[in-house]
Amino acid sequence: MEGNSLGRNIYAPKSLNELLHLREQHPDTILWSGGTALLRMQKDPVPFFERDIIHLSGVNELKKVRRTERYLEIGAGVPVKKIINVGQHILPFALAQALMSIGSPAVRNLATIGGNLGFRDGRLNSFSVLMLMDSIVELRMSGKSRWVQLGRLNSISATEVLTRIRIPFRNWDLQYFRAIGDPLLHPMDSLSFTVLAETNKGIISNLRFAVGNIGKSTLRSIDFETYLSGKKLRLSGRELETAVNIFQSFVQNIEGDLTPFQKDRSIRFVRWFLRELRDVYIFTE
Amino acid sequence: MKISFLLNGRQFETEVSPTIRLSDILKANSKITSVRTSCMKGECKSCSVIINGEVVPSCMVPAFSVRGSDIVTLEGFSKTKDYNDIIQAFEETGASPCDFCRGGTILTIQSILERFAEPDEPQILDAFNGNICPCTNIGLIIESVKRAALYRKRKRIGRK
Repeated sequence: MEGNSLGRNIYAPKSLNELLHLREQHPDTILWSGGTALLRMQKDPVPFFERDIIHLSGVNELKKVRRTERYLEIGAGVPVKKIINVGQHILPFALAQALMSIGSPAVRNLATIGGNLGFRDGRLNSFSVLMLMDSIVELRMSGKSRWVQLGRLNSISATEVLTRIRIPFRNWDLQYFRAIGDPLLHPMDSLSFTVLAETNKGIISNLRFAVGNIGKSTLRSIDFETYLSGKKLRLSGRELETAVNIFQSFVQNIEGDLTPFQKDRSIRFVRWFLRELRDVYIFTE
Repeated sequence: MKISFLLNGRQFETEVSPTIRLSDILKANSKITSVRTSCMKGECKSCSVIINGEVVPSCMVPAFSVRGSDIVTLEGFSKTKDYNDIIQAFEETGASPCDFCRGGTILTIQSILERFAEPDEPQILDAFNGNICPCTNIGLIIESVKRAALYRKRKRIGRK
């Protein structure tokens, strides 16, 4: 531990056990992984943080990537660049796109998946993709561990630490991710769109669609997904318009989460995407 | 807080606030002139350095996280053979980054060449994403990267 002129302490645990012990003793600390999001939001020449910091770079247990036949498991402290380098045959295409949309390659050397998911003030690029993929995360505290659906990450307690992300392998043969704007610097103008679907003999099954990068929430329209699931590709003009109308009424009725700009862009995106889907089919390969 | 790290192969020790950015520590060092700061958001690359073999924007790195690290700036990188490939490519294509962005440009090219043996245009543009320096034609930079990659390929084949 090191003190500093501001009276803040910097803790640098060397193992997961030490980290969990420290977190239990100091629940009101900043967990510093890559720190890129935290520093990007700093306006002062010398960054100022109101709380003590636990620096995670010495915890090797958080830096492991493991692959089984059923899932890919990524430690929360793994840099984004290392995940991208896992390879296109292992990493789901939409997740790779989401990770590639984080900063520049130099920033991706520092940024970590845990930092991207666990950022306190909002949901960043990879969250909606991993949520749609039914990813689960391990939350650990001293002497206890639990796995929860990523969508329930909000239930994390002050003494828990996000340690691993497990992404099940599924045959998503239709994957798409696109982000606009910077969710950290311009949260009112940023958006991300994720589409995942399985198809069988040209029929869409199990379509999932999420709008992310909109503050602390991620939006899904179950009516929209249900309507498109079971439809045969290519969509007819009437089916396309009905799907757009369902999504439009869903977005228009949302209060608070989306700005008018974000509502307009999401409807435009859905229309564009469905047209592309009708005309060219967007597949991963 | 006292921190020490390897800077261009030599032990460097300084007393700083732990949350100060690495870019500010390096700028305060009179022997380092290649590190500049502009956006302070990790985008413009003018503050790029190599930390433990990875090119990172030093404005995104707090002092407390570099204890014991091996940091190389353009001053240190310019003594390597890899640097010569990039400079040779600059000379042949006519690319001439200004002093402000020179360090960031050269280290970004180095990071591209470490990742891709034969980088294509989208890969190069992705690496330069966010670079706001208008002084050099990006077309010349792209050509330089491709040439430098070719020189390294020839060297690899020559070694075999």
